[in-house]
Amino acid sequence: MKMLLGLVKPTSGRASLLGTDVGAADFTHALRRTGALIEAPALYERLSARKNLELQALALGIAVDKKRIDELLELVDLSGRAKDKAGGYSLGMKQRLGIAVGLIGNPEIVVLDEPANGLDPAGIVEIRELLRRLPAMGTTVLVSSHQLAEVQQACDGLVVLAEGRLIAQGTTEEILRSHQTNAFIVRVDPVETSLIGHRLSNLDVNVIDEATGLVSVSLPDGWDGRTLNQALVAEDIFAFELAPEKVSLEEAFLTMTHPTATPALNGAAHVH
Amino acid sequence: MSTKSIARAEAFKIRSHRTPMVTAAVMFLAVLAPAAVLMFYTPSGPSAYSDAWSATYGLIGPLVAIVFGGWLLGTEYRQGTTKRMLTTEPRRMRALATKGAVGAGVLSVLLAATALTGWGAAWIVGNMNDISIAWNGRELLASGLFALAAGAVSFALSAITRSDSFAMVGSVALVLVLDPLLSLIPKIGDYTFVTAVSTLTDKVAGSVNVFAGPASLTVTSAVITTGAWFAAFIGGAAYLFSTRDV
Repeated sequence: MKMLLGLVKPTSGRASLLGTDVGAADFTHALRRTGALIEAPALYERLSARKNLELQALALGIAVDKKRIDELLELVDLSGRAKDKAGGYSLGMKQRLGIAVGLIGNPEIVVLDEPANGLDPAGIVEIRELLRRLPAMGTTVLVSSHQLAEVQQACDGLVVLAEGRLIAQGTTEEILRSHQTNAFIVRVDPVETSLIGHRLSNLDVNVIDEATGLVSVSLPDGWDGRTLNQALVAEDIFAFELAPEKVSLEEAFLTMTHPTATPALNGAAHVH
Repeated sequence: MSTKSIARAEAFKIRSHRTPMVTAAVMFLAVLAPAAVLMFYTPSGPSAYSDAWSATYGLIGPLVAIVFGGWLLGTEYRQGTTKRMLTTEPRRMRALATKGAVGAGVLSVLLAATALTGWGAAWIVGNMNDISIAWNGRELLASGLFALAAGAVSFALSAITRSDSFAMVGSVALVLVLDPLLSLIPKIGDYTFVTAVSTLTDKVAGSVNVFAGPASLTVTSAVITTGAWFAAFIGGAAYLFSTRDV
């Protein structure tokens, strides 16, 4: 991310931002169309939120009126603390102000590096909701994060990197679908958990939690939830719940980067 | 991003922060304090009215310049705002030069304003005691130039060390520790930073700097030596600032 913004020089290869090579003569114009928040929010801590925004507008050479600053403060939910010094803000507030600073020039793209790092759950939700509002304003958001649950909820498209190499790219739905298995989570009476594997021996059954009667059933081709339910009923097993097993982005990522890992089934017993 | 907009932003930062305001206030108080004292006490001689504050100006000026010069860029490193600065103006040499130029301009205005204020206060108090106070512009200019040189070194050290406190301590150490130590070495001692700069400022003032003593270099050698010191400091700072990862 720093390389894209010209803060770190590449040892080899090339990077470009909005079609302009980093370090090229017109790179300044590409940066002019970009907002950024890299690692910790870069704020002048002795200045208020309003002054921080005014300063950035001044540096960019853009005429920003009070109304625009009020709108940005409203967007990041800092209107009530606009006159307080940024140094006294919580980390979540600083992150939101950092994003507002990045937005002051109406950028086409905002580059955010770990925007939810170090935030409490409420702060994470605030950042997520803020990020979701930006595309509606015509701004593309490029987020780098290790918090994959957050990425799954907030992002439309993904680029997965491992050890510096691209290992997957596509929409969030495509990547999740490519790792989706035809498996169902079934909750039955706890005494029946071991019966499923014995009676439906053609299916791959994993007991997830015997105490609550939770099992994962991998279905063969051509089977679906209805077929599974019919098979269970035919064996006098009546499920309380039956739902397709969802693959999380975290599980998909681990499968891509460590193909032998099966985090969802860690500790699960395998029954045939 | 034009140089003008970056310069305006730099001026905004200086105006909005406490350190430049406090150092400016200290400078004004320092040049006014002798006049305030002389309102209540009769000095031993007429020269005391101007000597008292111009000596203060000559001592406090470089210290204020060192604090301001170190703060100017060092505070960006301390707050982590260099990233913001360089994503706004990625042409690093231009960013550094603009910051340095704005800082030098502001410091020059402060030094000029405090020189006028100190002289004005001395003139008023002197006249109250029927003493005429002469304007010694050359001496004030020389003191101001020495302060600017000290500020430039501190600014350069902040880029090299990426720290405001290291820059300030380093600059004071250079003037108060390294320079006197180097001056103990025959021949080499003639080419220290303070000796070289003082030789030039003595020429401007038309008198001998009380702290550095009589000049041991010719003007030509002093110009070359001062140029070499600045090339090392400013050149090193510019090189590191423009090539280091942020």
